[in-house]
Amino acid sequence: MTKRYTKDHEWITLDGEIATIGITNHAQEQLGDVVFVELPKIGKAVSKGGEAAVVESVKAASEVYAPVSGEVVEVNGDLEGDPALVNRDAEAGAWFMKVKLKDKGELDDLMDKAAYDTFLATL
Amino acid sequence: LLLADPEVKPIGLGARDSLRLEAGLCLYGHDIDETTSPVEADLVWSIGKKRRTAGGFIGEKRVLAEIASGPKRKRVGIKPEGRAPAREGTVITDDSGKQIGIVTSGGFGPTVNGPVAMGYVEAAYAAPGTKLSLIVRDKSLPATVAPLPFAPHHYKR
Repeated sequence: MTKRYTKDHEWITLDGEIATIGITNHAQEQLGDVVFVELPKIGKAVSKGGEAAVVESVKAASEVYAPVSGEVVEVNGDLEGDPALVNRDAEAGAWFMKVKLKDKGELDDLMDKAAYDTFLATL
Repeated sequence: LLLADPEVKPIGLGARDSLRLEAGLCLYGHDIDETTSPVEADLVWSIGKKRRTAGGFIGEKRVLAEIASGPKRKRVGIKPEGRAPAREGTVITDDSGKQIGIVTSGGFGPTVNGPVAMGYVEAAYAAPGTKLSLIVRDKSLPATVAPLPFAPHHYKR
């Protein structure tokens, strides 16, 4: 699946029924130096639009919302020791969590890259 | 003009705030306000030596009493043990979960490369090395009372 985006600046890719979720490069730029990431516990049920993780930069703490509903099956342990990875590689290596999808239909109302870029231009 | 110097870059409030916090300096409206006394805030140095005993200023009754018998609460440095910053408003508890204070400034200290905070605790918990708990997003995180400043001063007073 091609990468999809939310208005809250999360990205999501799908492999089978496992979705990988992170925050966008734009989000990372807005946050500034990321100093701490709080990831959900494996097995946690997340719901679309609900709080799934917390990312803290020097400036502020921000919630990361789940773009889809499902169950957390894996989290990126690299972020605990090296939160600045979010600044260096937000849209690949610094993924936050993998979620087993409940309803693939929830992906339909997310934006593709072109739509997200258009959305960013309006901010 | 300043920006023409290669060693000078513009900074914003975030940098100013982390620097003054690491230096142990109070931000008015946060670390001190109309309810705090200079004794509680550890700012007795700002009162002239004579006045500390003789009084003769607004608020002398409370200030002199606190100098003589100690304040109820004190401003202290707080070093969270993990990586999670504890920000302004974070509740401070003892190991039984009883609230003993509140964080008035907190964030990430780039110089110490970790979270730093300051806040008020009941006087019995104000000694450096005292173990505290910080309630961050409903979780209790361990922390220690730390001497201020977190980073050595490089300015003259």
